[in-house]
Amino acid sequence: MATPLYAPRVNNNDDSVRLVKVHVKPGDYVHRAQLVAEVETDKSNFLVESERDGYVLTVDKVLGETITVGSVLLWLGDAADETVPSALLQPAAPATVAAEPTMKAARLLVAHGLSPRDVPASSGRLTVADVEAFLAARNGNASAHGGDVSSPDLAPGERRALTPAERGMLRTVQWQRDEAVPGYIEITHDASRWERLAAQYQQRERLLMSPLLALMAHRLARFAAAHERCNATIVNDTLHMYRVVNLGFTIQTDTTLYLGVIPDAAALTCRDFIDRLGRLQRAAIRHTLTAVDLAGSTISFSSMARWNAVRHIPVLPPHTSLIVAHAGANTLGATYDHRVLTGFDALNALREVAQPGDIV
Amino acid sequence: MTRHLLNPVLARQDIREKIVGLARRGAARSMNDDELIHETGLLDSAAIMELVVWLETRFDISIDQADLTIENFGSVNAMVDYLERL
Repeated sequence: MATPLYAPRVNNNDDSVRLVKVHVKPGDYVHRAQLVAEVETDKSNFLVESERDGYVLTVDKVLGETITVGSVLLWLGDAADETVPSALLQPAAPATVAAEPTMKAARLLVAHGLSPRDVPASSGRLTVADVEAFLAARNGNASAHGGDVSSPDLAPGERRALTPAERGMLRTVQWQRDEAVPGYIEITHDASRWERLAAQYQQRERLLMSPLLALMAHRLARFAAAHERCNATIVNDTLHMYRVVNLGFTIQTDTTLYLGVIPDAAALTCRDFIDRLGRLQRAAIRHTLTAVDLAGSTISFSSMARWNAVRHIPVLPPHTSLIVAHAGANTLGATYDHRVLTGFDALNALREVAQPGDIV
Repeated sequence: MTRHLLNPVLARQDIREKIVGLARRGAARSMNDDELIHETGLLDSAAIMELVVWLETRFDISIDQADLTIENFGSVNAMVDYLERL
């Protein structure tokens, strides 16, 4: 049966929204909660998700158009050639009823003393984004996405804008919170085997610094090249498999944690990889890494062994499914995105990285 | 920027002080100038990297990645020799 998707109410005070993006066209098949459009008001942008599985029958509004809240944005049907009801028979916009909140949205409602009826939902479920948009509008703040939500429980203090590095960290953790389903698994391994190999390699190549972590990271890159799901992510309910392995490597300087990226890492020899990583690390210390140096990681490696951490559970860099965590006490762990990988997949990656292999 | 002629004595002194600062251990003061730093355990690889970046800034030089060898930077004397060759 054909059902309408209505233009959502973003803020209580706005009876119209502007249609700024349409991600679907007639004939497309969409899933429930799939992003179909984006609307904006003067205060916020809002993502419009499909309320059901089905085919897009018509898109009734024009990009850039200002549309009335509650008017029909598009029609969805069970079949691509289903007939859309005529204008005379189109149902009125539904009365505002309480949408069932997601678990995270429910916690946010409770934290702010709200009930589901107080907050308009943009789709069939009341989401964190719905509640944040409502709070932002109520508090007169700028953005529904990570905007400044005041809380009466905060002790007095000073505020300042985030630095680029802080914004990057915020985006990273928000991506994991909002998109990924993170799991963590770890193994113990005999680190002495890697240490011996690294020491031999260092001596043979006359390297100034131990190549231990670089060699392990290179091994991860080559594993990922041979196991494509470890080098993949989810985009709109589809599996996006990256063509090359761009290895992200965390670099902690005096003030900042960077994720430097070595493009096409699996295609490099060990020595070339070590040299590339060395250049990234020096640039990080100087704080001269460019946007290109920091972009596009497809799988990552992180170590806190330097500080004798026995375990650390890193956050997944956005749009990646695996980050290996090297720590002290012979521990190797991995955070993985359970939408893409199983614990067994992550375990296999760890077991591979734990084994010193041939130096390429 | 004009690079001044290297004073090896001052350079050794500065390098030693920097190593002591990075090591954060008094034992670094007793390290002799021919000891291979990576074998002393006083500085890990990340600290050696910081030392290299400091050398570039302090002596206004650019060190090629391929030059980061034990022969060129393994000890205080090696570093001063490298700087003198530039």
